[in-house]
Amino acid sequence: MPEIEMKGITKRFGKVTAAANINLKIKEGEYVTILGPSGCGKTTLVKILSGIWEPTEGDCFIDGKKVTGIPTFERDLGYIFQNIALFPHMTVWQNTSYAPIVKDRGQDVMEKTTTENLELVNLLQRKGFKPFELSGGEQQKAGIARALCSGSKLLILDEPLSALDARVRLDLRYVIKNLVKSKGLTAIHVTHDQEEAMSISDRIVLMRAGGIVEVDTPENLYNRPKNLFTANFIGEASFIEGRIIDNNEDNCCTMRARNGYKLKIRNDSCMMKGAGVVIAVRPENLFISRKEEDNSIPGEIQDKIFMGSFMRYRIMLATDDLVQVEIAEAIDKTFNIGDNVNVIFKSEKLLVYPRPKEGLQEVLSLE
Amino acid sequence: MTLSEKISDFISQKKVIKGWYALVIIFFIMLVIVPTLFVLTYAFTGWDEIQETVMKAPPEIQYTDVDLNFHNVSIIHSPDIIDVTDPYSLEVRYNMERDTSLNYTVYLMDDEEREIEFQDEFIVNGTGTVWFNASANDTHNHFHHVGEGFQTLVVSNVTWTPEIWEEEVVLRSGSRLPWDMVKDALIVSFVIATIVTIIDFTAGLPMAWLMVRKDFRGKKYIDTLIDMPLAIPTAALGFSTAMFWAVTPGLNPYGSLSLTSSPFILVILLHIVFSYPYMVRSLSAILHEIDINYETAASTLGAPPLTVARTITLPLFRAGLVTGIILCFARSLSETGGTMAALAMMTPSLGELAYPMKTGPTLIGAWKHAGGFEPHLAFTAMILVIITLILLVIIKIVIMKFKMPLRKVFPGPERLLSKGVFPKLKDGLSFLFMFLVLLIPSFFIFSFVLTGDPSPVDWGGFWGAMRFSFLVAGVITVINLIFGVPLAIYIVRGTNKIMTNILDILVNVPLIVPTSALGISLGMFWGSMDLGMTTLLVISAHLAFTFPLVVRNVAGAMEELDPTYEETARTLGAKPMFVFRKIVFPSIKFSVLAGAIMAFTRSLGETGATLAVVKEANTVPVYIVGLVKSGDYYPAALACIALIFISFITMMAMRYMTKKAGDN
Amino acid sequence: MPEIRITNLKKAFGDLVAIDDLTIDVKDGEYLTILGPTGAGKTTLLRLIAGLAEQTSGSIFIDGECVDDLPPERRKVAFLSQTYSLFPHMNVWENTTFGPIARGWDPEQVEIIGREMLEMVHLYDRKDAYPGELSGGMQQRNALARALSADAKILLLDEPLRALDARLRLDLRYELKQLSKDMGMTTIHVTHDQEEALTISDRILVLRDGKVIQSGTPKEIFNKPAIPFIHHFVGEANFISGKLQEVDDEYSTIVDDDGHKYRTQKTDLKPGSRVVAGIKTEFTLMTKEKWESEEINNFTGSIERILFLGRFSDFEIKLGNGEIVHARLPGYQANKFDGGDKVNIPYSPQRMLVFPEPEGGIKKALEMV
Repeated sequence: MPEIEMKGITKRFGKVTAAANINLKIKEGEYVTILGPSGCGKTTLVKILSGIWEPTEGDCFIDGKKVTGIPTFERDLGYIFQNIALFPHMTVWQNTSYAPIVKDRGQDVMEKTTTENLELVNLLQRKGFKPFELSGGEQQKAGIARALCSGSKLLILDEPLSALDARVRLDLRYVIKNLVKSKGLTAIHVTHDQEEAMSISDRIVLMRAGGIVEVDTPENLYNRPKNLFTANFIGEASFIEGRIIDNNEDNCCTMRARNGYKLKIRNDSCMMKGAGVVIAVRPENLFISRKEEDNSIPGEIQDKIFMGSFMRYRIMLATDDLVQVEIAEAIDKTFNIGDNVNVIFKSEKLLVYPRPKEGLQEVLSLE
Repeated sequence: MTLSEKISDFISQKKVIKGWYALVIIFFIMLVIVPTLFVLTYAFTGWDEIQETVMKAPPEIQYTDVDLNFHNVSIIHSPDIIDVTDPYSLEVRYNMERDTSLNYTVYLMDDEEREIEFQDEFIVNGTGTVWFNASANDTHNHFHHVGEGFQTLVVSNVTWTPEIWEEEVVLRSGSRLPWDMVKDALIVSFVIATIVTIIDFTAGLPMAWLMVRKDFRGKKYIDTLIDMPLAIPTAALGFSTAMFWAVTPGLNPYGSLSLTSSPFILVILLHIVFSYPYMVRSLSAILHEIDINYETAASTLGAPPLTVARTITLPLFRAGLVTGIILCFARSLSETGGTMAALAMMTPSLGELAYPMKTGPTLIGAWKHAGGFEPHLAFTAMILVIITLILLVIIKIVIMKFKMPLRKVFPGPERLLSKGVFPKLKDGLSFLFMFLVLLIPSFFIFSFVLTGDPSPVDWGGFWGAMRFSFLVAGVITVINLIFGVPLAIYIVRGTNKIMTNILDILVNVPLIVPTSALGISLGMFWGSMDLGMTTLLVISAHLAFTFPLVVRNVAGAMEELDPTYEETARTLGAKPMFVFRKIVFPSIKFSVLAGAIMAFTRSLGETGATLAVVKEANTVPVYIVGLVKSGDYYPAALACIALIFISFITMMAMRYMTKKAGDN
Repeated sequence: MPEIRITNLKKAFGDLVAIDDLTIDVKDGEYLTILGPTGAGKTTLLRLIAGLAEQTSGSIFIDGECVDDLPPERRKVAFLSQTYSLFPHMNVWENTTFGPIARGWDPEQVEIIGREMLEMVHLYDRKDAYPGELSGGMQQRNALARALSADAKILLLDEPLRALDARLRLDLRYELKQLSKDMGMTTIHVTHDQEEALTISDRILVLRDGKVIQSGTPKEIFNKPAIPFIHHFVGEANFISGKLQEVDDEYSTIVDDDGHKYRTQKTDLKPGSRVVAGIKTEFTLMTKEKWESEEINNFTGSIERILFLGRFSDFEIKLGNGEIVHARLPGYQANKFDGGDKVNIPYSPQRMLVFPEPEGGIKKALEMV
């Protein structure tokens, strides 16, 4: 099983730097997702790894072997494309058996692997179909089978679900994850969809503007992001800016937000009195009440959104910050638009960051 | 409301738009399609005549002043104009059952009444042709022998003096019908077109590949170089190419390779020069459209580049391949001026009908030039049109249906050939081909002008021809734009799909039908209306074969233009005319320009249609071919260079303007 | 504010019927979402309303007036295509003012509306930029400003968020709806994304094969889906099929082919008929302890796979009989379970919705084209 390493990968297109000095190590059998907004350089990385592009600087290693300069067809990998790219003039069977044939694996092996992989994605009974006769989801399943047939232990998935309908995407996540894990593959998956990334990966590499922001497990990135951008990009969050107005006590302190409202927050990194601070909080970690409660800020409900098993309230706080609160349907006491409520902040659920110099909006910007 | 708004409103009315489209379609059918195919009606109206003159042996001709003592030997010769400065030729065809000895004596009298006598002896058997060529000014004789089983032919005492010709306009044989000449010429044409297309494809594919899929320094210069031959009128190309490759009697400019004396090979080499750019252009266009992801996918699956090309790209190519092949085939089939010039170079002092090899278009040109061959011309044009159209369908079907053995994979050899020196060799050969076969022959004419012996040039005649050419090209460009742009828009955006599909196919017809056949057809159509104006005839002929160029270009751009732009503009409150002015036209204007300039330069360089439609038309290419035929090489070369420069300036202007648009 | 009324609308492309006898009323100022899988005929419907395609039969009324014979420029309907179709040769300002200029407004008015719209979408400072220089989100805002400046009161949005990054979509949903409400537009929004539809709409219309299969508020669509397909398409559901045994005041009882009994919501269907019952994965609970009540509605299985989604985790559970069941648990519950755990899954009867068994079986009925 392969182990991947990227050392100092830089890729420039003219004056534009698509990836800047990327260092990354991926263990055998690991499912790693490269996540980031459009144009952050995530696709560049996998294209370099698979040899479709050559890096401007730096080297890739597969299984400890330097692959720079080796053409794509001699690198042993499977690649799944965003636009699926099934050969339109070939049937599902011909598409799937392409790799064993060009790799000269012999008739028996070819038939065996092709049958096996088509069965895995549940498409064996459609082997005589041409790609255009399949639905989007089926096409991508055939694309997966084709990549698996290359027999490689390294699978690259380049936005494999982007072209599909939202609902189909949900189903295919399971298909992909089950296949990769049951076959023990090392997978590198590129996506801009944070939910997809969280659901499918062992580890996420979050990128922005050609550089890596943070690398960690989905749980850590969601629950304990080290970075404001991460907090906003992976899962939604509401942000409140303020300033610390007292000294640290038991890793706790008081923050004053706009318009004089105060909140108790945790201060694990021992920020000094007077320091600018930003708190981030997930919608499911906020609560609302009609009564005034401890550590709460009043606000007015602006919008109420039905989201299935829970309701989401968008509340304009008295601090002029907009926060989103989610409440499970079962315990929802049906607040209405225009109601004045108190939003309760539980200090252990707040993520605390020093206020960024470039300004909060700049740091959070998704584009 | 201002006047222009009122006009815009008026034009935007549904009825007006519909009426305008109807007008454009009627124009297209009546002025382009019907005249182009009109010759087919001759099959009904003039079939008797064809049978009489072309298919059936003519009645015995009394050879009053010729004493021919041989059996089964006939004489065909052509010129009806008796001018002793003309080169004459005597074509002797024979059909012998056993070895026959033929002695002949020819007496020629020149204008000073000096008599020249030639004697020779042949022994022949089987079927074949012997040419005797003579010029009253020239004591050189050329004998060309064609045929199988040639041994001895004896013609005893052939007496031949120029005076005879006045009485014998044409001598037709009992064993050799005009039909056979037509057949021979057409076979030659189709064989050449096939070979040229195959070579173009083989050499063009790697080049297209390089241009689309590879990045290298100087790519944009190569890109321009490939198009160069398109800027040079074919008459000039024929002249230049013949000088470079062929043994050209009486002319041996510095650097000439003089490699071949076979007209067949020379014509192939010539046709490659001007059809190769079409092939490379069409192939690159398709390659651009094939999603590179298919190729990337194949290579991630372990396929080496050669396997990818064969199993993925080529099969995806198919539909588009048809375009390239048909374009090249049609261009080769229809070319007249260059071929005439090249043939004249190889066999100077020969009459047109006596060239050892004729293609369909040159035969038409020669017959038209000779005059009095109307049924022959109609017949040849008709056959040419029918065969071309049938072939068009066959090529389409064959390429779409033909199962290429592309799925089989040869992992070992292909892997080997995809690596190391082989790809470099392939690229190198592509470039070599382009320089040796395309560029050097195209521009060899400059070598001749620089090293040859200057002789006086009749610039008055040249500029006269130039004025006429520009008049024709200018008028047809304007008319093409007025009718071509709306037709293109209708073809792409029209709601009546059956109608648009039919129009789409019809537009290609004048592009595929050889221009000389088209000229004959047009001449017949307008001639039957008895308008009789030379200029109008030439203009209508040029209009027909350039019209598709404008329509194709604009339709291509329209197809690329996402209709949602127009739709969005409509929902924003814009009337159709406003949408055209603000959205459609700015998006397609460079294709309109490109189409216009293509039409202009094609018209400027066309020989076949001009010669076919009227006997004496003085366009520049015709003027040049005339000079070449009469052996005035130096003036011809200078005229060529002048024409090349003018074409070139036009083309560069287009590139400049298109590029400027690209920068915006 | 205009209302839209569509009666017996039909559109066929040759043999293919894209819109099949559709009758819809859209109220003044309503935000209506048309939800359906690819190929359901959603875009065709928008194009018919905008006048960009001609219907085969039926009529469209805007504000009580039949617009069947009106060209698009006279329907006063703003249409935002999936790709935005910003005119590439015009800058932001020229794009935005295209509508007013095309309608022949005087320059001063054009100036005012252009500025107002661009300021509203925060693009005034980029007014000289060309579309190619804008990010995806900015392009979408520019297209929106252009659509709104043309004096239309009806906004047709064809998958307006599809071209954007997933994360950006979440934010722009709210902006889109807010803008439409602020401007008092009647909006029809087409999407294939069920979550987007749930969160943004006043009313959802589920379209499939050119037919409306359900129309209702997000809550109704989610909680009272008309057919199993919607139950599974909007959210995700686990299904069982069997024979309806009896219906009492509170519950129904279903027996499947293996003899297992299920208690479900009550139904109007006749006892003895073949039925299916489904429960949303959001309401599918898991426990490690044995559920106290008897054999009914109770399964045991082992957790095969866990997909972490942040505030939720999705569980794939393999039952004893090999069938797969999905469950979605909020974060604080999800972290009690690990892969391989043996769990009990009690289906809550109130959440089990009963439908007559679809022709061809439940599997086929759930297929997403």
